[in-house]
Amino acid sequence: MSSIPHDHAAGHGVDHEHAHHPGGIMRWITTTNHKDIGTLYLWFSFIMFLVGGVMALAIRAELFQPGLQLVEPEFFNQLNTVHGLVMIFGAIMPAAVGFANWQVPLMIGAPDMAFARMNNWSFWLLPFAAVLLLSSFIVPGGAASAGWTLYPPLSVQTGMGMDLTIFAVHIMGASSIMGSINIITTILNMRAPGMTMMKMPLFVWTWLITAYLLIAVMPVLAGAVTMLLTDRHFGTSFFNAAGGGDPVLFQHIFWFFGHPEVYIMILPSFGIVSTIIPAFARKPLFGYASMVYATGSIAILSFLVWAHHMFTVGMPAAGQVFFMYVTMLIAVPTAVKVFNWVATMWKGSMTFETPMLFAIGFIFMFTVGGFTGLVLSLVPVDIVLHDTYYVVAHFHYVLVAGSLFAFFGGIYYWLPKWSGRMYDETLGKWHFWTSFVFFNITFFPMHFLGLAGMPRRVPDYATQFTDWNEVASIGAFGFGLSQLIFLYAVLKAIRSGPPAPARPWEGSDTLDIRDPAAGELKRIYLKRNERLMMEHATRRERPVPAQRGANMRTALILLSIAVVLFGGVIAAGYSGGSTAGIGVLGFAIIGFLLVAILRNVRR
Amino acid sequence: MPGAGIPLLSAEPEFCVVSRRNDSLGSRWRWRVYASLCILSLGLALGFAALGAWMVLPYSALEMAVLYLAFRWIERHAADWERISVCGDRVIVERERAGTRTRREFNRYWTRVEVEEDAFNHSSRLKLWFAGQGVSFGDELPAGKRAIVARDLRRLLAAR
Amino acid sequence: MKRRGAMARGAMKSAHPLPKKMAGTAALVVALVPALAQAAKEYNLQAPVTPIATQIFDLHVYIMWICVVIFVGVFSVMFYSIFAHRKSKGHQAAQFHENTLVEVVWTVIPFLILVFMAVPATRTILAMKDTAVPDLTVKITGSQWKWSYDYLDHGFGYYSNLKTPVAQIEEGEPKGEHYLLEVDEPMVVPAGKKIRLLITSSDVIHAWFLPAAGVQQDAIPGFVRDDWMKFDKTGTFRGQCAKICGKEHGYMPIVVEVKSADDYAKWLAEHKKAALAAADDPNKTWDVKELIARGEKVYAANCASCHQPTGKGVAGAFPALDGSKVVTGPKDDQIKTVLNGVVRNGQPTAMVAWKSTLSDIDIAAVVTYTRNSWSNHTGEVIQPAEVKADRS
Repeated sequence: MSSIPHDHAAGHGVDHEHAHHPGGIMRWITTTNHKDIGTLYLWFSFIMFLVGGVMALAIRAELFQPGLQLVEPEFFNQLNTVHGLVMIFGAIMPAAVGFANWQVPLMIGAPDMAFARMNNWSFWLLPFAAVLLLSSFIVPGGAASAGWTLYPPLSVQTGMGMDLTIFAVHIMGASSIMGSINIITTILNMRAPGMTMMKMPLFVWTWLITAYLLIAVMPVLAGAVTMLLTDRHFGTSFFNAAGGGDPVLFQHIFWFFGHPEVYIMILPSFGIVSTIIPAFARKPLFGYASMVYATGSIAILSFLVWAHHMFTVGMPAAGQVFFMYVTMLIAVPTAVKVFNWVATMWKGSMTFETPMLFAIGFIFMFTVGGFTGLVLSLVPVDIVLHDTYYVVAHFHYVLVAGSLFAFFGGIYYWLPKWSGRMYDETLGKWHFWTSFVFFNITFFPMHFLGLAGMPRRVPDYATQFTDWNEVASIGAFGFGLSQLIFLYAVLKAIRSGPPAPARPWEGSDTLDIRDPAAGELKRIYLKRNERLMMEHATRRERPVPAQRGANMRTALILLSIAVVLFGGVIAAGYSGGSTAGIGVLGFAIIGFLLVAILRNVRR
Repeated sequence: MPGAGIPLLSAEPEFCVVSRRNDSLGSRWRWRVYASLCILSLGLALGFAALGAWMVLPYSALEMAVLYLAFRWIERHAADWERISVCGDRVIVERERAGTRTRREFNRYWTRVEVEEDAFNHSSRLKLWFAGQGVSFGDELPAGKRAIVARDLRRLLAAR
Repeated sequence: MKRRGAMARGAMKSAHPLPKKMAGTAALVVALVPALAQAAKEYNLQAPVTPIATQIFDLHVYIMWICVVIFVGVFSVMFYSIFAHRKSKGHQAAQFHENTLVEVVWTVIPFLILVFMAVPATRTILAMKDTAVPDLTVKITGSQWKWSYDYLDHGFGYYSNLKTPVAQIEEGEPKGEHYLLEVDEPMVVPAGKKIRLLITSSDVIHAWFLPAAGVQQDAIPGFVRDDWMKFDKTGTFRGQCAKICGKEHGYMPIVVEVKSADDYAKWLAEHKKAALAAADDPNKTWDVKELIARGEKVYAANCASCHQPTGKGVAGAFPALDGSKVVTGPKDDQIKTVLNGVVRNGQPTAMVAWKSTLSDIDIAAVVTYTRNSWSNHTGEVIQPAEVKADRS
């Protein structure tokens, strides 16, 4: 990967120092330090963001005019597919893990991640996966071209690029699982004394829930793509109707992974925004507890809504109605979050440095994406918008203006702490405003295209869609170029930015921002920590109050309800078949076990 | 319980620092979390298996096995501790790792304190050197605290 | 606010406003800015032509207005706060947080609003699912990359291929009015009748999507799903395949011609006659010219998308027929290849079996055509009877 020299030169603004370490690359390869690994994750994801971005620009260039000008339809489909996979598995998810690596130990007062060496492995799997995925373009038959959702039978039809993609997904999945095991064990077991669950910064909470979701659903993805592989090469018929399988079953499995995945990509962003807003409003987060509960509810609901991606497969009315209601319900905790952020800003003393601008941009546009999500949740409306550009607009509003904007905000917010140097505020503002404007120019018109009936994933379109496509393409190039400002701003900051003060943002109040690494030792939580850790061993240990637990119990109860509901839904969706009986029985047993455990917990 | 299992020093030390993991979750909750993940993950996998998609199951089982190993490691090391104390003319470094205890004694006047700063790697290690032998201390402490321990220790050892 | 403008314009076009007040507002806006009325089409769903599509259209407008109101409300608060509560104005930060009453209220209110959205949506879902007692049943089959329509009540069916010339797509010729949304044979249905659609696929998943009718249904191989539509008026309505289905996914248009009952009856009679005539006498001996002329059409409709009109194929993906060993070799081998497709390692390839899709005459014609086109000059003529013999 070309990322290595890059990381090198830019990672820490110590390149001059680094010149004295001839074996420096090995240190990046072998590092077990959470900060280094966080940096590697973030640079890796930025490079993948540019790679995926170039693909997006190729797509937009082809769509600038009707007719085929630049790429063949087959190659267009490959670009579309790999753009999606690269952005999801290569850019957004690793970036979120990068933030976790940097911030989680600092925020909870842990010396490092729980499994430092596994942390290193989970990062270094990613470049290999990326190479596999991208090299599929040069094998005979080209890259996977069935869309990132890899629906069979189409995905069974394509060439060996599909196999490479499946392997890449496996490796990325393994990386994600290792990363999330690390994060979940760190957060649960390695908090400093006094850092109780309900005192954890929200970013840590969102990542705890994200890691939980990841552990729950990654095997589902791995199983789904393995079944594709065996259908392709080993004569199984999981998804082949001619052999007694069911192509729709893949969609159920895929989206059972895919919908929690959507929240995996957005929850860490919620955490970042919840860190930034109070800092620049100089006012505590309005409802900490309700934010935690809202995040938890979103996570639970995410297991119950997968079939809203499949309203057009022809499921029974009861199924459609159920999935519509549950999907609509997600609007409640999401609204609670937005209200909380706005209430945090209310009567604050706000300043608008770049992180705050990105956070406000996030709230504004994520809400647009949330509303279009609500529109799409209504089955009748979804029927005429499913697989159209309206959907494309919707998920780019939540993933680009949502996740990505929050990540940009997070980078600007923490860069002074990470690198010890300040970024250029003017460049940061330029980056925000150009991104904001061009983003909307690119994606807002796509709502109109979708409403007018333009399907997604087409290389060519009817002439009535021309105007908005031109606008979108122009916006896309503007948005792409705006990201070079970001690259320049970050490089400039870490190479030659002015030294950052120990506490770069006056409103910030979390543990990490007062990390002693930057010289400031006035810590809120750590003081207590210090007493406990450094006391003379001859003195009797004072007993630590046994609290914690109430929240965990609530979470478990909610979780069990989710699992039982899930069983019911599976049964409803497939009522009539004997499988339903097995499903109901299985879930009844699980439900019973859960209740038994919970009763035990109460005691 | 923090502090349980650490033997008392025979004499009142001049200086004593204990470095230990803070087992913030506790054994009982650790295995409850594990159980909840098992139920969720294996429950999903079994549900899919009932629908004919049994290939989720091996992955789920594998993942739960890895998670089990991780949790067991945490469990075994939850009670680890390290103590450095200065009593009279001895510097005593004791540690317990996964149930195994080791104890080293150095002569106070011949012990050197070193902090290996690694700016490139964002890390620092506190090391004691005595007669060509090195022993590190306080990897579980946050970097800032390690620096304080090093400063205090150095001052103390240089005092005589 | 961009969104607000869009919605206002969207609402104007609503022919069947659900909330009457909103229609009033919309009408007012139309009166104020008449020029926008024409442009409105571009900002909202296509004008509905079936009762279901009308319900969907109204539901969408209704939901959008709710969203706009909430959006404006929430962000008025936020932007007021951004304007008033800034440090540069000397505003001191209050330190309040956690207020149970406020938190309960802002959890319950969204929930109640959702109920108001869910009720009309559920009603429409139930109406959409009611496929009972149709006047006419048409089976729609998706295949890579065209649709076919089988009139089950009348015993005939046909394929509906993209009609847009390649020159317009690839060579920058001026695009026609219905570029990419035109077919050789549209689906034809009568107005005012309930048409039941049985939708399936012969290869990968497609989706039959006709926005103006409010119908989108995945076509899934091995499964038949049903849906229905009933047009209020006559006209020609266009859509296209909505589910990615391979390289020609963007070139799979759907055109539905809705005719009055009389015109439909006329069309039906003609089509039945044509269908009878098309069931040609299998033992008739065809001459070269007839076969090549027919073969060229069959080739253009079925083969050219992969093997290209030039017969050169696409390097690395689709083999050339021009100069191909199969095409210039023994004729039975080529006929069998066309009949059974190419199977590699037990998996079907992009060269699918045509035996169920094309008739003996079509296969004879297209094989004759390929063996006598471009640089291939075998001079051989294949008769339908030979194809029939190879079928076994």
